[in-house]
Amino acid sequence: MTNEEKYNQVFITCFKVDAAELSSLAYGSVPAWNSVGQMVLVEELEKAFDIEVEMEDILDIRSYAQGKVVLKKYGVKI
Amino acid sequence: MAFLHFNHIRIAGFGAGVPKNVVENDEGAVSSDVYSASDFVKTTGVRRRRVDFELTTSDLCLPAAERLIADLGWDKKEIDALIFVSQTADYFLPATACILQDKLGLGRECYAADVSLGCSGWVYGLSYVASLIESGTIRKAILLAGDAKRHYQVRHFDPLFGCAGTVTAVEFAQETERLCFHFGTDGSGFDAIIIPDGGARNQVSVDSFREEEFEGKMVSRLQTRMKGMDVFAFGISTVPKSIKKLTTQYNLTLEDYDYFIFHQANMKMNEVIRNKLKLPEEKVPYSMPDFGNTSSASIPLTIVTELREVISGQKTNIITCGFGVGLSWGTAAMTLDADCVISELTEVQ
Repeated sequence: MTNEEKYNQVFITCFKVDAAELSSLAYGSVPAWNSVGQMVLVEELEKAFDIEVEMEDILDIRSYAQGKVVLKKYGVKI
Repeated sequence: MAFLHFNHIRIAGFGAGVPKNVVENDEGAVSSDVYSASDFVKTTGVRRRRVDFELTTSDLCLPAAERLIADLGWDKKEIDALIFVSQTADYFLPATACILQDKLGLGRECYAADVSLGCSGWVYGLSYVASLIESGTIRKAILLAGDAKRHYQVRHFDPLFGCAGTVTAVEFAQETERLCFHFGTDGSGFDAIIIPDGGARNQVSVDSFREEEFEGKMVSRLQTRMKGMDVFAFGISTVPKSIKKLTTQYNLTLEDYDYFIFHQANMKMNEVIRNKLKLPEEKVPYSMPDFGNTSSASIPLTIVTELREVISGQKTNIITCGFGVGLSWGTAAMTLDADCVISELTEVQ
């Protein structure tokens, strides 16, 4: 599985959305992406890519697109 | 680097007091346009809480302390220090510790002081007491910690929070296991959990009572406001790191510890922390389903309500971590010996 496939799967699983919805997905855009959903998302991203996301970066993952930028800081290229 | 360790500190016992009144987190208690009561319970894990609008934190600590002192068989005149940790003191002044010294009948040579900390407060308080005992002539001390009747509570308590007051008895011991701590603070997040008005910075005014929407709830400026995302990010990133720093500093192995008792913040966050540390469920007890988030009381309350029957009479290694308002955190690793007394839960009315 590529990094992009893993990344997409995390969002699809966490927020129960279709792949077609991913590009526009952002905090608050679906009911499941609230503060609790954010926590679950970070936990799943950490597991998928074996990283530990810093507090300020957790707060920066505000959309599907922004998440890719944040993960790049941890050496995860998507 | 805020690490502390002590070689002559024995934790003699624990006690806790809660209001007798139980409030279920049903639709009547959970009022929000954003989530239902069942969603709230599912996310936070808080099914019910102990709440009372009259009892203060000291009212809950006092009978718990009386019971524990009696269970220990301690002479009150030998208790030379009392630390009261709370963000719901009886008065702005004097310190509640002074009132409790008198009500408990402790001697006038007693060192007594308040510490204003919330969720990290019990761990900090334990370090204060340990420092006092290892630094001079004090040989027995009690740490009272908790939060109850909130200031200016207008309609109802936040359904996340419960009321509790706890007591931890600590004494000097020549031969005992090491007690070690790691602490941290990030005041840049001071407003992540805050009651904006009522202190010296923003004094009470008519506007303080006006309700406004904050994260989906109507709250006044005299009620606790919590930035959920900030608190979650803080908790899940800081707690595992603090525990790892402590274990690295003191060459500890997580597998050697029988229980990990975390501040009872909310179930989702605590479970993420547990998963990140790869801790088995049975080693991480929770009191929050029945008592809610009880601030600085939550760690000793969990010991009293969830571990009393399990660990009494046997040596137990535990790691505790308190984290929250401040932002502030503290982690402690300790051994409770087989003689450690855990009093029955005291219900107060």
